[in-house]
Amino acid sequence: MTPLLRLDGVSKSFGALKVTDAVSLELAAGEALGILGPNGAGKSTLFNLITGGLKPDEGRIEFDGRDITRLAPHARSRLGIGRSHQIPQPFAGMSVYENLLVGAVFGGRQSERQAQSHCLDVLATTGLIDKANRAAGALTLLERKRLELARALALKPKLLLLDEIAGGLTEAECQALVGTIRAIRAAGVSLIWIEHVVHALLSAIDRLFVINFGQALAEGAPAAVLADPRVQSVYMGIDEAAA
Amino acid sequence: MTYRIERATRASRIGLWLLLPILGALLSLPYWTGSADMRLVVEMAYFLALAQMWNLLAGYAGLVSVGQQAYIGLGGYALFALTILAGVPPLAALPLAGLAAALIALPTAFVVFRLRGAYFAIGTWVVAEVFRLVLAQVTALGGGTGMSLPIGIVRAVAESRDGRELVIYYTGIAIAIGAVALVFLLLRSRHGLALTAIRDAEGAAESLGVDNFRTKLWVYLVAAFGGGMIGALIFLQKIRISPDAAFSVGDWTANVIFIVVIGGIGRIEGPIVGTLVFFALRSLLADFGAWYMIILGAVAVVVMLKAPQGLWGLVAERFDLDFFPVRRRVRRLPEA
Repeated sequence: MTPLLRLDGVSKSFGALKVTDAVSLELAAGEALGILGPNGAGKSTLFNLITGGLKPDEGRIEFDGRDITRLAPHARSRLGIGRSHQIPQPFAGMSVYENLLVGAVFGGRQSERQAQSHCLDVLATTGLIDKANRAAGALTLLERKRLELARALALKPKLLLLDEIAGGLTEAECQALVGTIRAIRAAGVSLIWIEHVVHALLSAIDRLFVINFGQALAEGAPAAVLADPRVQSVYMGIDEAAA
Repeated sequence: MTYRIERATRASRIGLWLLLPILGALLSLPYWTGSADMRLVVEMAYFLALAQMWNLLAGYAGLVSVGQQAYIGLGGYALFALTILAGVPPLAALPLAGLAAALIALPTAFVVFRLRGAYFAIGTWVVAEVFRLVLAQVTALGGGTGMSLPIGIVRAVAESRDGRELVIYYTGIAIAIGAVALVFLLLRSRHGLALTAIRDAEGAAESLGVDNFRTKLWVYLVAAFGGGMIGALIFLQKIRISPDAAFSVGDWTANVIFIVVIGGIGRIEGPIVGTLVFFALRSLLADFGAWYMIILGAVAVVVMLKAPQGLWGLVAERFDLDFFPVRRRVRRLPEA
């Protein structure tokens, strides 16, 4: 079976700095992949390469059996790639409901009328239905993070990219979020999740991918990857010699 | 649980009833006032229409152009060219002038859209200056000194002077109402959803499937079409055109920006309020010479500092007024 997403030797440099260095990666349909890495390792850059905000210098990106390496971001979202932003970017002057409508109408290619019930469903599952008419600019941080997730779901993604969506939340809020994400997975959506809140990440993913200085460091079953001394050294600051 | 999406607001329902007497007054105005008042109302009408176009560009698409005089001038010159050189009837030339402006705006957009923010603003101004200099070279249209519309063409609008004023008056009113209606309907549609999303967060709009470039492009073309048509009307009323008057950054851009900013950028009511304030200030300060510009500038500075959302923004937020509802409200229906 062809993978849903395939990165083949993808590289990206900003001047002399190689932020993504020959990264190859595959994601099967329905799979959930977690990405770990220290700050500045190139995790968000990887997302920007997949969503099209950045174009790779080398390599090839395929989605659903199609070469999307040169495709514009809006065209990729129409193919079914949804993302949340690390720093929430709500459409502040629009209502929460209208924020979702943008994703459903443009990314999901539906008429407003068709999109209506789907948007209301997503609002209900993400716990935002009571805030539907509120201006997105007036939301709290937790609500903004939920809105990021809800907006991405509104376009009916095949692949959902979550960028540090659990950071800054309380333990209870985090638990609720993990519950929502597991429900999304159960509905058949594939997932790539960048997260520093490791216990939250581990409770929702099948496979872990660790990146450092733009290079793949380790990949595989979460427990095995976390036990890898190289991962412990770069990510948790545990000295290899002492370990 | 069932929900319904509502568009109308209480203010918009009241507004519909307010609209009737205002429309009645405007349509009957020629029968109870003189030609001086009619000329003033036409001037207000085209400034309102220009302000709506600029508000669409800057307030929604984030395209802060200071070069819209390019399309007003091109529209004016298109009127002269179409009527004098091609023999098109003057009123039919108005929409054609709009089309001509939009046609020229298309390649222009691909140049100026490469620029961002302040560079875009300067770039659009430079483009307008280039058009002014080019038209000053066209001797068939009067060159640098300009020309008047031949009497035969003026007569083609209507035989008598009163008749002409009446035709121009109603055309002006139609264009102003058309501009407000166009912006309102655009913003209510899915295009409005895309535009408002771009206004608030450009990157997020793109990652949710909005084609930012195309959305901005058609807004730029619509604004050029509007500018061209309004420009043609302006110079049909003035009967005389020159490169300096047609491509005046002061008349067609500074005044229009003042109107939109004072009234409230990013709201349809903004340009309406701004036009009323601008003309009220102008008639109040008519006898003060240069002080007029100084006071106008001071008012603009104070509003920008104290009420960046404009005068209408202050009122709308205070009383939750929305006469042109483009928003959607989710209402939970009682269980059946």
